[in-house]
Amino acid sequence: MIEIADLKKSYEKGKDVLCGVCAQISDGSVFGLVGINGAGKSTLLRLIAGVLKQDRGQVCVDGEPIWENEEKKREIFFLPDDPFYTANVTAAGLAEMYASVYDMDKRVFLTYLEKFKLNEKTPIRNFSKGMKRQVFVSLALAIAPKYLLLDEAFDGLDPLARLVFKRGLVSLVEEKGTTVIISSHSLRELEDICDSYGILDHGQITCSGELVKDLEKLHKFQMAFDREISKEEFGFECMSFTKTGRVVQIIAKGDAEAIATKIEALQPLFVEEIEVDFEELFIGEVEARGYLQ
Amino acid sequence: MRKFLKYELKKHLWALVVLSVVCAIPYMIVTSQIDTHYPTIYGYVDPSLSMIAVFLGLLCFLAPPFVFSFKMNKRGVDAYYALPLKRWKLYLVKGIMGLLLVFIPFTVAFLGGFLFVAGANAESHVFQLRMYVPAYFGFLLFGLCLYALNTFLFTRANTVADGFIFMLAYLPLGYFAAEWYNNFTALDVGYKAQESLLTVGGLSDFTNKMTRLICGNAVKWSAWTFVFPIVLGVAASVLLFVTLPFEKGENAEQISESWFGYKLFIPVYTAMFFTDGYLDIGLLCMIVVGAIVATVVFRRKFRFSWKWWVMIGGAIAIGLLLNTFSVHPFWKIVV
Repeated sequence: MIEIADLKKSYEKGKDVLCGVCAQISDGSVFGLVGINGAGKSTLLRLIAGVLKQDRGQVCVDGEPIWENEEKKREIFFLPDDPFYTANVTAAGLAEMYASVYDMDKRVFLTYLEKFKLNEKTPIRNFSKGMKRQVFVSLALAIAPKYLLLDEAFDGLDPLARLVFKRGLVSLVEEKGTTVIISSHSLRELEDICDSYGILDHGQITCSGELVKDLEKLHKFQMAFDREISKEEFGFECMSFTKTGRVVQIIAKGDAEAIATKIEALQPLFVEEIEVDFEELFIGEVEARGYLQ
Repeated sequence: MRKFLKYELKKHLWALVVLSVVCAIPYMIVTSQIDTHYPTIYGYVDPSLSMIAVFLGLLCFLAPPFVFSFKMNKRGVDAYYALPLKRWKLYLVKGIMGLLLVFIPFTVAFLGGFLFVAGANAESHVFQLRMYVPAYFGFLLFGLCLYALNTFLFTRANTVADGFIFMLAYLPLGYFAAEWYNNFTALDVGYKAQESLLTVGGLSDFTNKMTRLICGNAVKWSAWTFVFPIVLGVAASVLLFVTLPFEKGENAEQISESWFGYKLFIPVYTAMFFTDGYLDIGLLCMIVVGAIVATVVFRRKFRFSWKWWVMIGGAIAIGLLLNTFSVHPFWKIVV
């Protein structure tokens, strides 16, 4: 289990990137870390990976502080948003480096390279952005760590590569019990694989929980009226309110039947409930915090 | 750690081969040309040790950037600091690799050159060949000390360019400090001692002395040749590891704020140059401009805050104040 307690980190005096982050990520879960640009997602992942040292608080993995903890770090693999490789290194060379410090299954690595149709002898600098990402994704899956930290995981990957990656992650979680923390702006991709999530805002995790449960708490209704209608007329708190002419879409928290009754009272021409996705949950949450007004 | 060192060795194998060839071929060509039968105009046949010493010195300046530049790159920091290795182990492996980048090419070149000298020298016995043994180990000692110092200085920086500037800025610092001392106190430190205060001074002095020994001449050793480089080398090695817990990954690519860097040598050089008795208006302007340029390089912008102006102004004021007590105070100079 990863436990984050009162974590604080700042790069400049008086400007906290993270201020009092608290979270518990249970074993075998796939945790989606989301937030707007500059929210501190990468900083949080770097702190969990032991790349940066916190100013205050602690990151514990299985009850042990991660900072300078060689044994625990062997159970963690961190894939940053822009991974490092030297000028002439090949995929094989990179694998050799990681094999010198991790227990890595070279066959799995080669299998994934084959799936991605990548040559292990080609210098990585000659690959496109997505292909580079594929090399590192193959590495992560071949190392199969107990804890996998992925920053901007799907960035640059084509839909097919995303599918291979997601399947690889799911089999890692199922077979090895790997815990994955994954930060991405592709919330639709996260929704496919994450079972829990945390929204990072103003240096803190302001909203977190089990994804399916939290999505079930939200209700999205689409309706049409014979007149223009305002948000206030609904008589309950709307997380999101979108109006196109006389067609209205709302997202609200609470009991679905109670919300439907209140909508019916407004005599819509038609009304239907639609499924809420993770992106809408995220947008609703950040809108509620004053963004995108 | 061993596996990681093995990987690093394999990764740098080509660099080792290329550096060895680049050092060995010119040195072997030069040593093959030595005519051991005829003395030079200086009265002895030159075994060209100075050439191999220059190679050694250059390697000591090139190796730290070769192995430690990862910490000046955010992506490199992400990759290396996330590895399951304690920082001291990572630095130790990188340090050993850098040392091998110095020692292996040097050894290949030294041995190659020695073989030519020994072969050509077989009949005439002009050179004291047994002196090559202490020369070799002495070079390794000076190489180790210089490499340790440069590694410490380079790793104080947050960019590769700053790292090179730090290594080069420290090269004459001790020499100028002795020059300042001479001007200030009228107590001459002595040229030999002063020369050994260059970071490469000990190596240079050792090379000259070993050249004389190899040529069969007597040499009077001075403790200065060894003391300063060894003290600096040991202190740098200790400081490198002692300061590791304070090393921040987020500093990569940022302004190099280390107290061993610009913050130290800009005011020290400014004050020292001003202390020099032979000030004239041209030199004065050059020092001020130099200090401002160095601060611009340091802060990476042309507008810097008042505290940096105070630093330059303070250094000039201290320099001028000290100048008044020097052997040649500026008011006594007749222009």
